[in-house]
Amino acid sequence: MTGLLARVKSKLFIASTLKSVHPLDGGYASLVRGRSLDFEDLRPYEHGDEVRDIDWRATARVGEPMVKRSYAERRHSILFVVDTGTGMQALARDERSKKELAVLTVGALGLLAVRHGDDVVLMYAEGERARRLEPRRSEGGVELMLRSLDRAVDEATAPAPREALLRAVAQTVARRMIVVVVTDEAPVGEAVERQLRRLRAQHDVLWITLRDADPVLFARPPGGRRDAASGWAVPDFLHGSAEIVEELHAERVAEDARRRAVLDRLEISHVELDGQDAAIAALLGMLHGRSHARR
Amino acid sequence: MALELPAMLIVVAALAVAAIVTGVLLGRRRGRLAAGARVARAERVRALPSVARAVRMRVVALAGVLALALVGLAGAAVVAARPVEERVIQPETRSRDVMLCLDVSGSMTDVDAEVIEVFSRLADDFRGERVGLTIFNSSPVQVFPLTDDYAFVREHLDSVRESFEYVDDVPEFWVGTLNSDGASLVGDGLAACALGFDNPDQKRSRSIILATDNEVNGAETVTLDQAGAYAASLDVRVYAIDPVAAGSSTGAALEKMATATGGRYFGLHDATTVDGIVDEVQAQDAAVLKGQPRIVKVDVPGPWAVVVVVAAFALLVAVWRVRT
Repeated sequence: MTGLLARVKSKLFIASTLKSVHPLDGGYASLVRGRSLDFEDLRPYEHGDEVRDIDWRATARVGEPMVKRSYAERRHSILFVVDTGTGMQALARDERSKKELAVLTVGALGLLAVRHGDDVVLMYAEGERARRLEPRRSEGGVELMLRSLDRAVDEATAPAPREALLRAVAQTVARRMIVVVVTDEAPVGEAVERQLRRLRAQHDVLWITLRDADPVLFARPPGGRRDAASGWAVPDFLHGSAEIVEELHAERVAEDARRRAVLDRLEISHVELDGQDAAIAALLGMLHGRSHARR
Repeated sequence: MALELPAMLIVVAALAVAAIVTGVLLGRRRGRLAAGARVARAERVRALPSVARAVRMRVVALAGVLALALVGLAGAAVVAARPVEERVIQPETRSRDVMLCLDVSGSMTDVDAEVIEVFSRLADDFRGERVGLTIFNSSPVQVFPLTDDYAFVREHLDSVRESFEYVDDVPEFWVGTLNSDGASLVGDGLAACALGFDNPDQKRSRSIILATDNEVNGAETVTLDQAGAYAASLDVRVYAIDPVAAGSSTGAALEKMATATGGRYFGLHDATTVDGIVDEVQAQDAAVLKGQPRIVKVDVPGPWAVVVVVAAFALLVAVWRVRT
């Protein structure tokens, strides 16, 4: 079996001309680092570091770009909370597997985390219950984590109880962590919002939405489509109806607006991923956005 | 309307039921095997008003297709069952031979013209009747034999009638009617007419319309009574038209002869016309000929076949519209 991580890496470094560094590295800093005022030390500038972190006076003195490091830059734990229900077995917006998109997302961020010496933890749904794996801090660990994720999605028989997952985080995670929620477009309900507000007090939360494929398309999809959970087949004659496609689009726009409003209110960074091709760029965009965030 | 093979209705209904059951079973099997790309929360589309509308339209379209199919099937079933109509047929035997036997002596010209005109008109309605024309004065001449070539009949009758209207001394076609001594040799004329009938073994109605005043002037080879007896022996009825007022001895002789053959005698006076006489003759002939009414079954698939064709065409169009 080819490693799941190898595939993630091939995606991750595809745009980079440098072998070992990637623009995401710089962005990663803003994932884990609060801009603390507790100055720790200086180190040489590395590709990907935020330009605003450059200490210009030190740079002038040393003769090469120097970057400030603060105490905030210490070991972090990244907790991936993945919605591994039947919904994850379905198609993503790019008509490819949503599971692969989830693996790519978790793998990319996990890889960056372990490269920076941070821990990664995976929490996923197994039936009704939430399951948490041991913290990992190596690429091999990320690989194992991705395989667990892969298997969990394959074995899912019911939609994941998102609220239960978040409650489990609240109840079982004592330390402050960076909580990355990877889920789909299912509406963010009242209960989930309550859980998020609770989590937000303790953790740094990121919300990654994996967009779902549309159930009705302009062009009839070969082989048809069916509901991921109930198996209900979408009648063929619905495809091609501009009216329905428009109504679905309007529904999505409204739901996006609602979700963004909720997450913005809770100051949770969020991003929607359409598919594997644009995922890395979108993640990067979110991370850069974070570094300009209010705090 | 009755059906010749009503069992076909049941057969077609059974076939239709079998087809529907097969279709439903196949559909269910396909439904069970239904695979397709899985989409999260695809079932939410069921709540969309536009989907409800699309489903309603689909239901209407499919109901239309079903209705058309049923109409077409019903029409086909009825056609297969052979709709028949029972028609009562009064076999009005058209196998009639009428010989016009006209005395062309000077006194008869008007009556002859009328008889000819009436038959020229009647020829339009003839189907299977045969008409012949024989004229006589002192000797009989057959103008044309019994024939059912009505165009030919009409043409000749018209030309004969026209020749009456000219005041020629001797019209052209009278040639040959004055070959012997005397005039109005009715016995000879009638005998010649009776000889004009052919195929005595065929069962046909035979009649002679004899227009004469029976004023014999000269020596006849056969007498009127002999000729009448001969006609009767051939089963030929003689209808005599006499322009002379009733009560004359010549008329009485004519009447006696005519009734002896089974025909009638008509005195032509103010109240009667040749037209009316001919009608009466026709009616009498018809009465003699009328056979037993028969019931005949006739296939009448017409409207049902149209229903099938129209429904099938509409069905094709509808199915094509629904599928695309």
